[in-house]
Amino acid sequence: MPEFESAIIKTYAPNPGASMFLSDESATTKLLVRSDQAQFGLVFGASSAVGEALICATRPDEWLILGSEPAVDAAAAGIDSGGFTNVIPFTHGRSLFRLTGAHAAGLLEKICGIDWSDAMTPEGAVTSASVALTTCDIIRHDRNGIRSYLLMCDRSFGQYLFDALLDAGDEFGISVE
Amino acid sequence: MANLSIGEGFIFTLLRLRNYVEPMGLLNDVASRGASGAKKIVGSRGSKPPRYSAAGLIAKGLRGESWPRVWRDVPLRSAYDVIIVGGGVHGLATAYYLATNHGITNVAVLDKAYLGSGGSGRNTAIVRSNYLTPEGVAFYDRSLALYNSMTDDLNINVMFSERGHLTLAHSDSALRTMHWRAEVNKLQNIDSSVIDPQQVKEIVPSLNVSSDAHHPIAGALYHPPGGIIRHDAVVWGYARGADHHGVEMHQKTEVLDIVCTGGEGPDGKGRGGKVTGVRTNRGDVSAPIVVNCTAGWATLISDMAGVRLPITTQPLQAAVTEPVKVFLPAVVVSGSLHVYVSQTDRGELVFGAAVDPFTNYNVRGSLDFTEGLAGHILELMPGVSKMRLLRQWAGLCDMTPDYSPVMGFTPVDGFLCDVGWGTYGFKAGPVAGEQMAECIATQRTPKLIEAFKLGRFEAGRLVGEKGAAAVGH
Amino acid sequence: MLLVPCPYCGPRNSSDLRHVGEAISRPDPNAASPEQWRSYLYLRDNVADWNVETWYCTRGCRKYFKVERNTATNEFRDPPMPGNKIGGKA
Repeated sequence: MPEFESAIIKTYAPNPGASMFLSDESATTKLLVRSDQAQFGLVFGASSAVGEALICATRPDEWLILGSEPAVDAAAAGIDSGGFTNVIPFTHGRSLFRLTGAHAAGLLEKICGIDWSDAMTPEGAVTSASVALTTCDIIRHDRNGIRSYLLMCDRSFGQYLFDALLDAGDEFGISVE
Repeated sequence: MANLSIGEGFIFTLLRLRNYVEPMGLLNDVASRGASGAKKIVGSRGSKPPRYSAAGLIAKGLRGESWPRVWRDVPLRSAYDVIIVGGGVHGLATAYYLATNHGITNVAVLDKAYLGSGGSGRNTAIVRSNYLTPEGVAFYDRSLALYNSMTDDLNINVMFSERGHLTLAHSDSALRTMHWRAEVNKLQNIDSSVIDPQQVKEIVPSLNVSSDAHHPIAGALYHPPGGIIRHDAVVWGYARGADHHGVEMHQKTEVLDIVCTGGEGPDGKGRGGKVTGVRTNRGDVSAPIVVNCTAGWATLISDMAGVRLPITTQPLQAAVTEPVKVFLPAVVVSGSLHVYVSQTDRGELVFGAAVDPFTNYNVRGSLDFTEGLAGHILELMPGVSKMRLLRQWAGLCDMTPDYSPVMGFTPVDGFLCDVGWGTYGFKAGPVAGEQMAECIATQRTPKLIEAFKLGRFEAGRLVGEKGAAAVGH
Repeated sequence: MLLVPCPYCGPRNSSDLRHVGEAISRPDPNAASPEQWRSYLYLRDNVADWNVETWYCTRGCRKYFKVERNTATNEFRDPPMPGNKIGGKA
């Protein structure tokens, strides 16, 4: 594997006292499974932790495995390779960001048409939608009880989306982590 | 209105008078500017409708007289030589040129609402001729020439402002298309050239031409003869002119069916058939020729004759701001940002965009449009961020697969179409009317519209104008 | 704005989808006459009424589906029908 290079090339001054944080987690190992078989017992819109890895049903026929390389490899052992199944390494092709803060849903509501209330998108919910006009896979993945979202987009849109999220989060006191 | 009492109200009255007089052609500077250098073409048969004059206005004001009807309100008769369905610019221009160029005056224009209630009163009033295909260029150049002499021909001030037209390029490939268009234009003697961002800035100082913009301006296609015109006056001018020559206009007259005989379809409609008249909400009317000029409703009307058209209907939205001091001297178009803007003589900014992304017959505005429009305009002109939108509206566009119109004869004898005008029908109105009139009078397809006949789709000979017509207004 | 009922994602703003157009059936390219083929390419009913059409959920599930919409009022009715083919039988 070539050495990983994030799409985020600008440098930002972090503010540890901020009330909302955006971090670049693009280096996370990402594995995409496209298949006409049911995988991991997960239907579109759900996610589940398998060992140290996170498996997300991002589309009706598509699953995403996120985590450290060994964790993703371990989870990949559970792929049902019957039917028409493709497994694609996505680590270098996608940017992955984490948005954390009590008002994270408020930020997303500004730039995305999805209902981010707990009733519609509870912890673990997975969806795909336009965020700041960029197609993203979005996973509700709270940290220590604080609302948090993982956002994945094409690498080439990474820097733009990162800046768009910082811009939209200005009113919520956002900072890079 | 002309309460000419001497006193503090007098100046105000004069100011109001000026506002009233100007659109009617009394301060004719706009007209004379527009007509200079234009090819004078229309040799109108017979007299013109009377001229509006300042003396007449004052005299009527002092005598307290009201103004006569601009066109007659006559009962619908049971037979005409030609029935034109649709009372917009295209239908009225066709009627006008039938009467003036060919002496065919037993003509009725039917509209289900009021004249100019469709796209003719909803467009953003931009005219230009810098198209991409040689067929398109020749056609729109003729239209621009007719617009240039219209104030004189119709004796009504259409306030043509030949202010120049800029089509911005934001990428190398867009710039390449601009060069392509400029070369096609130059071959046909159209004033059109590619200019660099600094020259763009000189013409329109309020544009952000810096290279650090999200979509930096890489250059522009500059077309000095392009401009804006008062679309209502064009509608009223043609209606008044046609009426003067004996054509009848019938508003609130909806065509419910087209009566055909001998066709291969049900009720004698369809291929091989012949039109005998129309059925309206005000009774049946017979006519050997029925012309479809109904833009967004084109397929609904042509279905009544059993003619299928390659047309889908999509609304195009537009919006206007509050009036401010005049600062925008040219029409600015950005295809990449899906927006175009001009400033009216009253100081309002008029915006338009691309057609809505799904077919429908609904003319309600949407928030998606306003939001996208504001974002794009602010990329081009950050200085207008504090301006407020006053209103937004939509008109129905009859989109064809190749962004060129469908004109002339159909497989049903006597049923003609002048439709498929998409987002650029207004600028084509005069020439379309002139050519359709010739088509009807001579029963032959004029050379200028040969390329636009319906048969081109079956023959696979499309006229691709998307590069210059999709958003570029 | 139009809320389009995607059978997989639920109601979505139309800006997240692409309107493919009227659901029409594709003739057999080996058997169709040029006239039939060009009708398939270019001719649409374009009614101002209820109409079955195909949408593609670009930003969401990336699935094609069919749904009935009234082009005069922009209302949707009946459940949307999943389908991976454009123009295939529902």
